[in-house]
Amino acid sequence: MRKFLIGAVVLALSLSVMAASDILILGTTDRVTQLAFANSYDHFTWHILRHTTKALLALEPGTNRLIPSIAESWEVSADAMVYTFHIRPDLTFWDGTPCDAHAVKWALERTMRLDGPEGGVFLIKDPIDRIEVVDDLTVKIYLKYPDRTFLIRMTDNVIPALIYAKAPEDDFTSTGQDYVGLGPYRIVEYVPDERVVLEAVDTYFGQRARTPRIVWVMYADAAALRAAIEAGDIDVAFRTLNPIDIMDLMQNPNLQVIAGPSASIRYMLFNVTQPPVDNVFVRQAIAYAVDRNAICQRVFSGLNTPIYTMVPAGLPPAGASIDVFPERDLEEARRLLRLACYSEENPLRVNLWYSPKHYGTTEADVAAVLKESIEETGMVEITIQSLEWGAYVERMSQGGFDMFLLGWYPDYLEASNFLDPWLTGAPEGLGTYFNHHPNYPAYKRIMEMALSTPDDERAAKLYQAFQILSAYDVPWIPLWANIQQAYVVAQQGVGGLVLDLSMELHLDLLYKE
Amino acid sequence: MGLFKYILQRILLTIPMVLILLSVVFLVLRLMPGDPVLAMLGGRNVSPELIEQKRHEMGLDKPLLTQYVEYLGGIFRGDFGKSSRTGRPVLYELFHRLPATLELAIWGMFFASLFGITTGILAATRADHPVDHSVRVFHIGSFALPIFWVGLMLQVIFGVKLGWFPVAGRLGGRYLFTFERITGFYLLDAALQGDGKLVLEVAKHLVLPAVTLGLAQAGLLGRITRASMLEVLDADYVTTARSKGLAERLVVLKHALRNALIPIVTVLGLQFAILMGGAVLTETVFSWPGIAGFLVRSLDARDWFALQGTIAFIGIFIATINLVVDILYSFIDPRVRY
Repeated sequence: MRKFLIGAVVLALSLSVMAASDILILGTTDRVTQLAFANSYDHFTWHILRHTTKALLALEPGTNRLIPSIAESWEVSADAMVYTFHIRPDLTFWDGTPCDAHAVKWALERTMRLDGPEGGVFLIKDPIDRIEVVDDLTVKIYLKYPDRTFLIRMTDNVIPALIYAKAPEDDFTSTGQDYVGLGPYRIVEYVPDERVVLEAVDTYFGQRARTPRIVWVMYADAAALRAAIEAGDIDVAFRTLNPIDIMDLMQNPNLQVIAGPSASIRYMLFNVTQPPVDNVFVRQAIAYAVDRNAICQRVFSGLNTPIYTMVPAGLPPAGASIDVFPERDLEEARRLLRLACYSEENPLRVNLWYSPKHYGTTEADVAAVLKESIEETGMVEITIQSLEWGAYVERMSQGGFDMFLLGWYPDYLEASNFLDPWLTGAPEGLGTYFNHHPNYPAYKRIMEMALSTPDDERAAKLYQAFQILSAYDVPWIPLWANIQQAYVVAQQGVGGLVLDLSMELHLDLLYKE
Repeated sequence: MGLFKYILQRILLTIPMVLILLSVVFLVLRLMPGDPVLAMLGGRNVSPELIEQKRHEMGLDKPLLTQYVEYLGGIFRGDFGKSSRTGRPVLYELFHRLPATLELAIWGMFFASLFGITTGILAATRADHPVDHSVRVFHIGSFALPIFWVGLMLQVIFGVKLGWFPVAGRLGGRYLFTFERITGFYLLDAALQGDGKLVLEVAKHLVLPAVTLGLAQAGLLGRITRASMLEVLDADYVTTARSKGLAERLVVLKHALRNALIPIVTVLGLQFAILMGGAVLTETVFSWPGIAGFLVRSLDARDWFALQGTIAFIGIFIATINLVVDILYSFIDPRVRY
């Protein structure tokens, strides 16, 4: 009996050790919104979906180079209006259903038809005119207008471009188990606000995932996430720890703290039609007065870095990103304020709006440092105002802010995605911020020219022109690169942490020794 | 007053209370700044037609009175609306999370009773002794310290530094593959699976949040226990018991405590409702997937129906508990009926 007991204990221990190497526990403060290709538009939901299935093309982890995925090759017509994709032969979804040209057409058309109000379907729907099956392994996509970003929009970085099968025809809500995909993992369990459990798929056409089981555990806040990684409850913590926590964890010998490049930026936006910021001298003065270094050092402990353009460095096309906004110069700021008829006796009075939680708990500190740095001119009085995100969004949608803080995380990795979001079609609502500016048609034209050219160099030059013009008109002020969100903290022994501008944690590459 | 009449009266009093509560929830949410439809659509440049369509789908384009009647009708039919965040019925989300909240509240109550009643007895039996003073400081401290701070400290000391207990959640990720959710009460589920290791794992997850929640209530319970015990320890029947030569332990536990328990039990009942409210902070600190966490997430996401449904549900739940406690109390102490 005693021998049996000892044997059972040894077996149990060995099993638990074996299980540990088979499972990775990851922690986050993010949440899944809706596991829906046609009705989700947030980082974490997209992260989960893109690990369960694939798109026609992919971005190579680490380099973000365009590589084949479901399509093994592709051609673009001379007028850049027709894209022909050749599907990999013998490709099947998890359940053995063939993934051919018909399946590609069905999935893309279903996503575009459902087009949920909270989704990002516009990213593929806007340029696509129609999809045609040429033969079982060839599909042609016709565009409404030439778009140099189209191939990037057809990668698995853009969730509406993902290919799947057997999803309900007319309902985009999903439990994660009511469709079949062809990615490295499938969703075994999704419990809202608690966890997502993923299991590696044997039939995946790419390299098999290194860890058979992944569990994403959702934590209430950054403090809980930090405690969990420190206590060893989880193997990896990703998105989003507080700057001070990251600095502390760097000193912990049991952990590895890795920073990836970040394509996430934070910026200030003006309503160019609303006094007093309708005056270009006022906006230029504020651009000279903001102290980006103070924000990065005092609020983010040096983890984030100042930026002087909206386009993060390293985004294609090469050379698109140039620093155009000025370094801090209080004398120049004062000169410009005088030109706008303000003085120490007659200071500029302006609001600075922010939302206290949506971008993390540091936002109030950011607003305070911004106020202090701009008021250092002695000619500005800033009233800080905050609104909870729901009310903030509503007021923003109605054009109700004069000067406010926002952030941008790219929909796809191309420079235009950082420049065209405020080139909105509607002149009301969000359109009031920029559409009524006298130079608005010029911006619009530059963007149209850039998007329609297949020539990278020419496109880069046009994006540069856009940035130079914006540094003169100052409809926005880029502030800092949000590198904090690209930090990964992992236990020693966890490998495969490949980080790139997509800010994606490539689960299929992760392993624990 | 007869027992039946008393119970009927309590039920009749509860109905208007619940109605007032539901009305307040309805009105307050509509007075809040911010358009729920615009908030739900995330500030994107959507067409006015789509906004109107969503408003119509949510019934927000109807007159306020119609909305109110439909809202009440829905609740009485058990329809608390559909969460725009999760896409599932609010009642489903609440029932899915209720066991987590109840399990935490029950164990929080256990620790509150354990710390509160034992220290209360200790203080009363050693009145004005240094032990009494120390216990009273503990009572005031546990009552006064912010619950989230206590939780964070316990996390850091017992979770991070000593590594004795997990810092968050109900179950470690590595156990999810062997755990089967049966009732939603994880400790019970683990026991039903007959896996001792699993029971231990679940229990370890429960300790820190339950102690945090319990400590906050222990102070009040302890003070009431002390006061109640002091009162009965001077009573004639206790003196009689002592004069019969009974051991002090028996006098305190059998004769004094039994009689002192009546106000303690009353407070325990009321405390349970407070524990449900206090769970908001505890669930947040320990990432406990209960109703309170759902409420906070719904608030952040401006999930209108989830918010409305959850507050109404918690209100109805607490009113029901109070009703049950009142009825039970009439059995424990028949004087309340008269």
